Amino acid sequence: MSVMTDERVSHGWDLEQAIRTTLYNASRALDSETCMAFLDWCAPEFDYRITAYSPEIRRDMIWLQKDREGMHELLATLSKHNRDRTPIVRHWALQLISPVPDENAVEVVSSLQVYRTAVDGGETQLYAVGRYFDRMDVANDHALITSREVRLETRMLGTGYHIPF
Amino acid sequence: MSRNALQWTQKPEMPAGLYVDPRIYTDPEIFAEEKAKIFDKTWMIACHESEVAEPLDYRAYQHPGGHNLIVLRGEDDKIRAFQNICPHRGNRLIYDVAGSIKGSSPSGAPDRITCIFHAWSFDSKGNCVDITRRKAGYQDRLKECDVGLREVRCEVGYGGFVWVNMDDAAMDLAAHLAGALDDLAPMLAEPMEVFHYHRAVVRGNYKMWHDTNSEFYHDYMHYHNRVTGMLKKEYWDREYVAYNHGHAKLTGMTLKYDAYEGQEQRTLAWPGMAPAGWELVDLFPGITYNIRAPAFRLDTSIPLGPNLLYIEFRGLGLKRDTPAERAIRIRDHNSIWGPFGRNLAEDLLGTSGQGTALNDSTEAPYVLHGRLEDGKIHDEMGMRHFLEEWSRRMGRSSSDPLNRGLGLAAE
Repeated sequence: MSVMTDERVSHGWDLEQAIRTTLYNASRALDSETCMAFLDWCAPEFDYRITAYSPEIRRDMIWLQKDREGMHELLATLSKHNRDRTPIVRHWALQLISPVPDENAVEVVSSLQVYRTAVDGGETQLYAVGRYFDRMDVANDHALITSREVRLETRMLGTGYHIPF
Repeated sequence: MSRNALQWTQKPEMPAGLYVDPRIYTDPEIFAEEKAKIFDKTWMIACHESEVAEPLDYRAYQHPGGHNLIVLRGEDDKIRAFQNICPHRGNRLIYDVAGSIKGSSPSGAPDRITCIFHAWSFDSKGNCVDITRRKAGYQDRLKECDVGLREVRCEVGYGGFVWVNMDDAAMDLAAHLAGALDDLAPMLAEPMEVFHYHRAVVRGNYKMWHDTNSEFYHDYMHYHNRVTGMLKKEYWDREYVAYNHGHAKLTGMTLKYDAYEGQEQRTLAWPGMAPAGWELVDLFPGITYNIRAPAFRLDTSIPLGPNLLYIEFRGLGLKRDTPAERAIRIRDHNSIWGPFGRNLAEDLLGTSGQGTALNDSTEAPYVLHGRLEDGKIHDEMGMRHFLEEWSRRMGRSSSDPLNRGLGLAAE
């Protein structure tokens, strides 16, 4: 069993804090529908996908795919769309952080639960479950998301939702 | 000027065929009759042939008439449909939504459907091939040849879709379609493959969804459709074409996708269409072929009650697609029609809002279908044509389905 030095423990702690800070702020921006702030936590080469597996057709599916510019346009045009305005909250739990060898990058897996709370009466329902598979640039103890796959288990999303998870 | 309760229930000053009584969307008795007179008598799409690509692949289908079906590609490569029910004790034969019977199952041998309950087995043609301990239990009173599966009429075509009909005496599929898909023949000629499937659940009636697919006056709801379609002159030239048996087609146009921020003009085409072309055909009682090059969307409705509806959405590409072409089709399809797309969720929101508002049919005495614009895109003749067929099959007027006169005023 190797013994971690105080320095390594400290670095690991700082790294995890940086990752948590980014995940928190990115989620918070989408939850509060100050969506453009989400991009503050994404790298210039950001790539985003929502995926799911369909047992019905026995295939992996991509439900949404955007680069950073595409995500910017999608979020910028939200106000022009009629849409379901039931607010949602993204609950995530950090599960695994894996350093990418020889790079200032980590791969991060988080479990995801999305809840929706009715505006009229405040009833909360579970809307979707899945996982975030993120890759983050972690240079200088500052984490930016370079790619995100939202892997959904839930495939019945009612009428659908305009804001990405 | 707003209206009081009495005024609210007044009949509109237009012929009966231009409005409907909302009870056609909500009445349980009417819905039960629709299952018997429409869904059990009409051709429905169960799946696409690519969902049962290999011999012994199967796909379960929840038929709107209330039946569970299995679509199964036989060892002879022929696709057949059966009721998903064991003739012994009525157990469900196939539990998974899709799969293959090629391997052995916990209860039975390979290449067989074996009921998990008492291990009766059936081959891919629906023949019963084994009744466990038959001689001991039934002596000679019952044999395998007496208890085959119930086969349902099945045809594959019009883009490789698997069509089923519960009525053994129904007209064949081509006669039912009455030429409605003939103009799409060049677009349906090449083998296709399903790349996308999802369902939406809507608290509304299946006719409301078909209405939404059958009128484009609601394009005002969609920012995407306004900027990519309505701003083009040719949008206003699109016309409805009605076919026998309640089907209707809207003539095509080319869309201007790059008018929507963040979207590029489509460059990849679909066979028989220009890039960014759009063709649409609505088939009675709840199927829509919707091709926006470079992707194809197919809608099929599965009503679960008068005011509860599953809608299945499939996205299709060409079987010959390169990985790069397929990626483009998927991206373009989902940018507007996926669960996070810029168009579909809005249509579903509209139908859901209608279903919620009309859940109590006394809330509104009528729903208008009365736009007359020489059959052009904002004419509502697609919906009216559907309802003429509905009335013919149901023996009821959609404007007065319970023969009580109109709405509250008559009660």
